[in-house]
Amino acid sequence: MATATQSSTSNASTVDGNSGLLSATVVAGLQNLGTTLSVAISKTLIANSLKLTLHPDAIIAPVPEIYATNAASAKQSEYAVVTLYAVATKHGWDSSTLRQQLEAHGVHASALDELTRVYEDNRKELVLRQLQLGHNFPHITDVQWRIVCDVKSSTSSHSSGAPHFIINLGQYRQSSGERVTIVEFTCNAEELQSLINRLKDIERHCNQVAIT
Amino acid sequence: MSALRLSQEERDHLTMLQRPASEVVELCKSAFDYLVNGPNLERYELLAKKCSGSVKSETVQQAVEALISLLIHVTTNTDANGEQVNIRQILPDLGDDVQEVLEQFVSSKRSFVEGSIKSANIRAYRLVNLDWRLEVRTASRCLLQQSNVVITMKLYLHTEPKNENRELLVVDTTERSERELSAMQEDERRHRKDLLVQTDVSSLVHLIKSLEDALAESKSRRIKNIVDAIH
Repeated sequence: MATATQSSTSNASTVDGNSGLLSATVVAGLQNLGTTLSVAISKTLIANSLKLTLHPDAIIAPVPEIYATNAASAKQSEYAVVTLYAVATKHGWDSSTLRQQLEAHGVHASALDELTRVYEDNRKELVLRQLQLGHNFPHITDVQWRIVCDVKSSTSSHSSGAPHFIINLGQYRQSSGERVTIVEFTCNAEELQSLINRLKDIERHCNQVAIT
Repeated sequence: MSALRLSQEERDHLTMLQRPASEVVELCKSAFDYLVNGPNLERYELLAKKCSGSVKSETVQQAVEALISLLIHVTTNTDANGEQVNIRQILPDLGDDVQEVLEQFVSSKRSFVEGSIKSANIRAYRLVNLDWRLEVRTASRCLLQQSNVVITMKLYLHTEPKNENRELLVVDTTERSERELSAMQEDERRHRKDLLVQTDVSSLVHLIKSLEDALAESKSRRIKNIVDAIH
């Protein structure tokens, strides 16, 4: 994606300050849509590229026609569409800004309509997708717990007479839905209560911040 | 269960206690030091010289170890009523003042030993402390304009059985040698884990709700009955 943000000098003719964000390779790829590649193929290609952006693990039904006649152009166009949406989302373009950009680069009218429509329909998903990218601390979304009480152990012949808790904090993988453990620890009732109090404290502060 | 039996060897080692109470206090202090820092041969040698009569350093060491063993025996052997074993019954041939010192010795570290023993076999991480910070992420490389509320938390985990035990064991570092200090730090590293995690507000609410469920469940009649039955 880094290449997409490099400024390109070949588009000096365009008016907008955003113009330099799309490289010559990307612009050429966009210009292929609806021209070198037929309108129908362009449409499928845009849909597939979007799907790949939103769900990198998704299985996409192979469409051999896309690559049948002009494989190199098709590949370049796929790259161009993915880049276009990434850059547009990154800079928070609305669909009319996107349209202006595409018009300035002389993209074919049918491709222009399709690209704008798909962007408009999926803006929220694209933003959410891009929110997940980059560096984060492990993000906890789920907690599992169990209560255990010891009866005997190799070091003590007595039960301690109090249940304790095993708390497992984790998250679900966005793509597969698989659960991943981030941390597991034990605590007794007192410690759990103080943990709950601490978390409620955070929640209260969140509410305060939301109100102000 | 109330009849606590010491082995002959332990009894032999404890004959060292047949001396003035002030010297027994010193031995008990060495035993406490053992709990925190492990054996300290130099200290035993010093103590042996201070003791009245000719005492060998090994004898002091054996006595200290016997004291630890006594502490563990007394702590783990509570009778059915949960009452502690009487020192006077186990070691009737000691002087009154010495027995008093020993009683104080076993009761003062009781909770520490208890906590350590019960969780000594399986050392799971225990949550000791939690720091948090409320943040709003305003930009990232992939998304220049955003305002995303993030709660960042630092979890302090420790395999030491109980938090309060750590505090009991606040160690005076002023008189420690370099080697001892580094050994202590190594121990700290091995048993500690600090973890940075984050969450969002709705997950936080879900977290609180789930943990409250767990706590409520633990207070239910059913669990109380089970715990009482096996205790």
